[in-house]
Amino acid sequence: MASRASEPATAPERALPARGPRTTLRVPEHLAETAERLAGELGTSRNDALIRLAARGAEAYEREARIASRSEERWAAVVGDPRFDRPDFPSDDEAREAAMAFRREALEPGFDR
Amino acid sequence: MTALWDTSVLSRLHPEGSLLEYMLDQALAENPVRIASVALLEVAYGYERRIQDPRYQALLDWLTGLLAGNAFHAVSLDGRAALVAGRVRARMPHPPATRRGDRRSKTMRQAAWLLDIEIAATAYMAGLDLATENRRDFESIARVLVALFPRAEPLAIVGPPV
Repeated sequence: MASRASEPATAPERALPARGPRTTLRVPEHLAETAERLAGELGTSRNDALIRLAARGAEAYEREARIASRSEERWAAVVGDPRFDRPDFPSDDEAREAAMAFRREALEPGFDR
Repeated sequence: MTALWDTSVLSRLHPEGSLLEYMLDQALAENPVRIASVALLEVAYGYERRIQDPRYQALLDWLTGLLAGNAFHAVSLDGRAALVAGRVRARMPHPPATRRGDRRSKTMRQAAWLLDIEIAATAYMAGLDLATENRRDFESIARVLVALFPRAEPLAIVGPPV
């Protein structure tokens, strides 16, 4: 079996960008350990691994933000604007009757829609 | 202990009723009323079915406003509750024997039974008691839960808060 050292050097594509703001960070221990492990798996630097992890986290963050935004937008459409300044409501009994209708109507065979 | 409202309790919520006063007091005390999402589904269905009558439109708007304003907290049937509900349904596929005077068809009773199981499982997994006017059926579900999970604290069935 050929040793790893004898294999042609094929460095993985680096995640570090050629451009962008530079920054200096203090990395928490647990994150540094994860980055070191990923760097070892990919055969790249710890900084490169950190960028990969950050990119994955940023993608998840953006996805969650998009979902939350869409969810709020839909809810705003459901709530809408109040249609009555001085609403007239059904009586207690009428409201109760309506509220319990699902069980009576929704799954009844032959229910007239 | 805080109790989850089922459909029978939520159906009594009215703009001019005492349950609303209780709900708002609870919200101010930062211990909001909890309502099963399934019960909310049922009630919204009933109001929407009568939406041509502007009074029901007003009622639906009012209920929507309560939800939007966090006057109560809707508790969903999540994955854990769904798992429990499925197990309960398998153990007790049919509701308890019909009460005298119950004129619902078998299909309707089955549908109502599934909804009750979902509501009970929601309360159980959320760590809540269950508030209902229909204690008999829910106590049957609570007994199944005890049989399934004897080491867990049983689901307590209580009456409406007011």
